[in-house]
Amino acid sequence: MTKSEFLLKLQSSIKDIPDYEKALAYYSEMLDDRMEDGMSEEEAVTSLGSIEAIRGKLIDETALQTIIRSRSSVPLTATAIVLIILGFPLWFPLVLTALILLFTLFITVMLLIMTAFLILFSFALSGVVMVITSPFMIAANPLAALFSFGAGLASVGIAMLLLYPAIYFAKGLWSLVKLAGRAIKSIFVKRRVS
Amino acid sequence: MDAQLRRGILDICVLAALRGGDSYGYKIIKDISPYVDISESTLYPILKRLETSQYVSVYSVEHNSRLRKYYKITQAGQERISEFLGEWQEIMGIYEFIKGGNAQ
Repeated sequence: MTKSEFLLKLQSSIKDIPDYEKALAYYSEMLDDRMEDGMSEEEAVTSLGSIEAIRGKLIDETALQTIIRSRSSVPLTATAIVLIILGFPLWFPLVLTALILLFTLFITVMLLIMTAFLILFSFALSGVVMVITSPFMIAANPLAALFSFGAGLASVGIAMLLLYPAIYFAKGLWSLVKLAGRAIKSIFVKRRVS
Repeated sequence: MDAQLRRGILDICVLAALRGGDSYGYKIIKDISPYVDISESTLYPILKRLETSQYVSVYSVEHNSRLRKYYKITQAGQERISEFLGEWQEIMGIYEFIKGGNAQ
């Protein structure tokens, strides 16, 4: 086996061990020094022993926590941190947009609920006002007064009829907001579990 | 020899080999092997450990158009050798006691 063949085989055997590049450089230096000392390439490679034995020694000497730390992908790598910082102009507007969209959705739902109750309130208010003011119109225009009284009653009636649908409408929209919130949360939970 | 004991002794042997001057991996092995059996794969973790404990410092020198890593013993490394010799003074006393039983 030549030196480069040996190093290639060694690399593929130990590349899952932390800091394996250093070990590779070390063995490369050892081979060069042995050859310089008069050994043939073949002899130098043979004298280092089997690749499996080298791998075993390296694993024995590497602390378990170092291996676990290098295996788990949870902590951010230097590359990831650099990417996050460099990507700031890209991801920041996107995150901001998402937040603004969510906020807008929330405001829209709130306004819809408010609108429903405002319509209801305006029916009720106008109805009450028309009923109360109708007696004062009898002298000037009895027919109009009667109409006002009737319309007022109808208006109050509509308001009363609309009360329950409005409440259901609000409740429905609110549960939609809650559902959206849960969906957003579940994205993060799933990501954390996996 | 007990593996743990051997490991501790080899660390000191490598430090002792550097006392005479900065050296590199292959030369360290050649210097030590007349006294203790040491292989490349044994030396590698020792050098790494000594570097982490700051008993040696490392620098690279260009040699025949490649880089060779040289190791230099630090003040802490020198102190580690003295400490080891002191410990062994004690152990030698215990050795005499175990061997001869003429402590009286």
